[in-house]
Amino acid sequence: MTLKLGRRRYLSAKAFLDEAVFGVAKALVLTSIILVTLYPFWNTIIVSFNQAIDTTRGGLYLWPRIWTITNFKSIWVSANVPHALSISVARALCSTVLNLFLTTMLAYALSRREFVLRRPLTIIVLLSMYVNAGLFPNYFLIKNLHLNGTFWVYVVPTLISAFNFIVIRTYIKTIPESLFESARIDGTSDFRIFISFVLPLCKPVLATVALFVAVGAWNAWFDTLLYNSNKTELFTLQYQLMALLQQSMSQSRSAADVNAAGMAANIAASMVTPVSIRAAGTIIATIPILVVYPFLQKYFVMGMNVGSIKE
Amino acid sequence: MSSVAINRPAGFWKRLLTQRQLVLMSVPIVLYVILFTYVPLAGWTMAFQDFKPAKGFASPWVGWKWFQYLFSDDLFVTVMRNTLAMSFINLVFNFTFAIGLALLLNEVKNKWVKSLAQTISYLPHFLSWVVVAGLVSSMLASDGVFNVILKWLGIIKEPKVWLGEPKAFWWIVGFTNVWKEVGWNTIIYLAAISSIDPALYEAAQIDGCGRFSRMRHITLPGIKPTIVVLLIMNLGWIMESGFEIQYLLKNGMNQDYAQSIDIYVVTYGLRNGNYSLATAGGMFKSVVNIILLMTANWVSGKLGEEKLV
Amino acid sequence: MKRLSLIAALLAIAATMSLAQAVDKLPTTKLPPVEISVFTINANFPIPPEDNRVYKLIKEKLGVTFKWDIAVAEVDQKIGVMIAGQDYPDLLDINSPKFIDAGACMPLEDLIEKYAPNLKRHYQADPITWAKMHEKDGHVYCLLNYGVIENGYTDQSYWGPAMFIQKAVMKEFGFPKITTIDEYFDIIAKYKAKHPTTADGKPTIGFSILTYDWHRFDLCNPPPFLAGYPNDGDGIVDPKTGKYRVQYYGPEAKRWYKILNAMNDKGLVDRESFVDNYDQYLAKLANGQVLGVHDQYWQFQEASKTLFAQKRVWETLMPLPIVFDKSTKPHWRDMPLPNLQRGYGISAKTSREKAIRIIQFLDAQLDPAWQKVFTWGFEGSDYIIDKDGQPVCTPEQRTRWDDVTWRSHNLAELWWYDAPKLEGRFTKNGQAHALRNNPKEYQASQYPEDVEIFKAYGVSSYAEMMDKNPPPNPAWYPAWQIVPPDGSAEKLAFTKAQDTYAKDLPKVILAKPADFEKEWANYVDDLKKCNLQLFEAYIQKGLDERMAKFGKLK
Repeated sequence: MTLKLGRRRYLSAKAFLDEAVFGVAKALVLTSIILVTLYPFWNTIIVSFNQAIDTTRGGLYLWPRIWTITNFKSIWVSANVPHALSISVARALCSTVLNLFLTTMLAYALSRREFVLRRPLTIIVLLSMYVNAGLFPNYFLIKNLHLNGTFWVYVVPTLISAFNFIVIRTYIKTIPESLFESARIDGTSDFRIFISFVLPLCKPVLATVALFVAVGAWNAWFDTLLYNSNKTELFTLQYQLMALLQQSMSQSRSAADVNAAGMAANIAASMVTPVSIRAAGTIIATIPILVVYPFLQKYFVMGMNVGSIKE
Repeated sequence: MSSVAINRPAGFWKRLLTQRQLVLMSVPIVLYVILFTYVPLAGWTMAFQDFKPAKGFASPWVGWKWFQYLFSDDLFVTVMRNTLAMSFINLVFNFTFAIGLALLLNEVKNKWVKSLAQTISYLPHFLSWVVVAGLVSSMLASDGVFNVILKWLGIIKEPKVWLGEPKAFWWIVGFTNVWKEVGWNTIIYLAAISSIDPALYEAAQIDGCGRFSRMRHITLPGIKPTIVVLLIMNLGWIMESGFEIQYLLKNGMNQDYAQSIDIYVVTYGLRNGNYSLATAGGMFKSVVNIILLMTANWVSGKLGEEKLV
Repeated sequence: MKRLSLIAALLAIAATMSLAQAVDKLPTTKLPPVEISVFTINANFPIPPEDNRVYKLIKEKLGVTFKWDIAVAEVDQKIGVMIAGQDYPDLLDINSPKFIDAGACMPLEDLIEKYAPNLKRHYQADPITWAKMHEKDGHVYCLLNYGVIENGYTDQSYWGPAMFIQKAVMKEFGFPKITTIDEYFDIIAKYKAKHPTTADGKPTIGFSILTYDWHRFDLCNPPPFLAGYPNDGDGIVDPKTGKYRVQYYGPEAKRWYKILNAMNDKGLVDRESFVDNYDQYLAKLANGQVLGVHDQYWQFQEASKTLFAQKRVWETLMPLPIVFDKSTKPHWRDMPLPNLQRGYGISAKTSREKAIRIIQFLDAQLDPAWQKVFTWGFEGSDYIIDKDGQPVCTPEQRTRWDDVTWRSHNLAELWWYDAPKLEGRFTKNGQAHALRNNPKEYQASQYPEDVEIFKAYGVSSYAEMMDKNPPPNPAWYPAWQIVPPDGSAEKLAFTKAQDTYAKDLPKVILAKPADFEKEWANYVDDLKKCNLQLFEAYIQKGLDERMAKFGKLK
């Protein structure tokens, strides 16, 4: 006997009760998770909109105490945001496109079981994730390749990530072998198969990896410090934010200043502190990612798979 | 796994020639990987020298001196213990909570709610550790939200200085990690779940399988390969329990439980200008990582599960 | 309102006229233009905007433009790779022995001798300073940025270490004379008993300690000062024998921590001091909760500014030269020291021609006219000379000095900060280099609450409060300028010691008084395991060398 309530069909009254209880539990747990994970971001937002010198007092929980957009203004003016933004975007785009293409090509080649070099090449790529030569050897390599002082130092050293390789490879493994076999019987070359079949079919995993790569490129600043610190035209957004953070540290803590009596209210209002710059900087740096993500998200839920082999 | 009948034509090189497109599609890229990852490893000689930037690689050779220093330092044992403990806790927490959240989100029928919940859950991933550590510090302060709740629930009478409790540190790091990364980690699992054939669920429902039964028999087995692969990879990162969160939350009182091997390498190595010690530490980490990785991979194969290579 | 705008208009006209005059008075060099590439670790200031008036003048009159390379973070690693890769711009900002030890710098003494009369006079005014500027190999590599004072110093405000106390505490009890540590804690305890919470309802804290990350030197700095010794960093130099000992486990330290332990038992010490991060420490100060700290003013300046902005001046802190016993003479305040191995050096890779040009520029900018532009601005627009010939600011000019945006467009702070500069008085008994150190301007820029405090204690500034006339520094002073090289066993020992005291001192302070001896013994043991003898021996050797060179003791 089945119960029909609304649009759902239940097998029994007990099933309905189960569903209801679970529904409530589900809602409660989900709401708490949403609130808990939303809170840090929310807190960052209110700190970024709160007057810096007031934030030093602490105690900001749910809403700013003294509203201001000075923190954002300060960043916009000092960090040369438009130009830095363009460099960061260019970097993220180049990295993402090149990464996706090369990693997928490698993943396809190494997913072919008949490939004689499969095992050794896979091991080489895999182990590269677990070794790191350290600061100086990497610096020397970049220098010897004359990448320092150029835009390409942002893209070339990070073209392949073994993690992304694994993710894409295992997805490719889920594509039925029969597809490739029939293509080969038709005489299609491997490269052609890669371009015409693999890339389109891998859209979901490519979207995921694109997000990983883009976010990584977007957040990096250490390479600018090491290789491009004297080239203001190549400063990325994160690097400018980092510089601004240091400057704000001095503004509030420098020994070169003496408090003026009757410190004008507007001067106090226009001061920035590291905490406020960090908060406002985080918001500025994160917004582009949040804007891009929804476009990628529709690809994820279409079915990305790591590890499941359907043969 | 299906077995494909392999025709064995003559010799290795002949086969290579037939597969030349695959070669062209892979070998140059692997050469790139070798250039950017393995070639600089020659710099590991720094660990065997008294490296001074001014002298470069012509610095004096000292053999195992810095490794001896590393292993004989009492701090080393503490640091290893902390690193492994925190990694292990992080591993267990991350896996359980990420999979749990994925399962939960999978049960959400409303697409809009599901999408919103997922997006919000990974927002903390984009915050820097400095921001998150600041929040954690103020929450754990004696007038912070954590003490307030515990007092209200009657669990404690006086507010406790949680960041001064050394033994609590690993758990604080574990939960903070979950808080920050669980949403991001769920992405892969959710995608894996969504590729499970819906017909299986329908069949199970008709058979009278309850929700949790379905999870146990369909969802979890369906994403098991994903879980295994990620588990193996993460075991290879066991020595990377992290630097930032521990560095930001450590203080004199919880130091003994907070210092990870990365903090050790940075404090005694890089910040002291002792690049040899830093490199020795890095080498050691890599070796341990690889051993664990290969072991996990082998064990997984023996258990009949997915292998990475 | 109308009157103000008229005044403003007149000032603007006067400003433009005198700006033109002032600009004309600036020395010019007729040499070809040059672009100097500069590496600096000073991340305090942004790269100057194009329309900055001072840099424009520098380009016009001296023919110099700059290409900046600012290390915004991870300075040690950045310097490391620069040295390893031998990538040096023309000017290197020296803040450690790293560049010098790496042979990155060009010897300067010849260049100064031949091409830089101002620099020569400036650095050779004190023969001991000039002698100290020579490195072990006999060359001068670094043009010191601070502490080279030709005509007497003038500091009015006090930036250094002190035992600070909230001004309200002193006011409450009628501005008593507090000199010993017992009196200090006594008065704090009395005030705390009367005011257990602040006006906002936050709990009052008797004594707070900053221990987060690299700031933790605050935890262990007090003992030598309290015992009347000057600031020799991590140790004490016996004035009679010249012997150096690390002070962390000495009798002074034990006495200090025993006092702290007793105060903690009374509830005067903030337990959370040992876990709070820097922002939390500042927050408590900014909310007026903290009655006393041992710190250096610049470390908590941000919190003070918050209080000033809220007009809560009584809740800010003032410095006191506290000592253990009435019989001890406090030695908190020093005469300014030449800041050895800090400042710009010229890279060894620069061509001799360019190096000459650079030295000539450095020489020219040391002229008092240029220095006035750097520190006072332009007469008329940034300050006015009153009838006594003293510089003062109008209220608008005064508040404008605090505006960071104005400063980035009108001052050359990024350059001036580490450049060779004139400090103290421009001429004997003349005006002070820092605008606000001139007495009239200083008094005019004080809060009325501070003026009240000065009156009560018969001083004219907080610097005077700490010590009206600090004794002259012995030639070999201070010991903290002797730094073990990177990667050495001594440096390792020191780093280990830092970790150890950060871990053990909280236990010592928070223990029950009955357990103090046990915890102290444990702490001393742990420190001994760090092999600090190596560190001590190294410093002693350095001191002996200095004493041999510059004369023993006082």
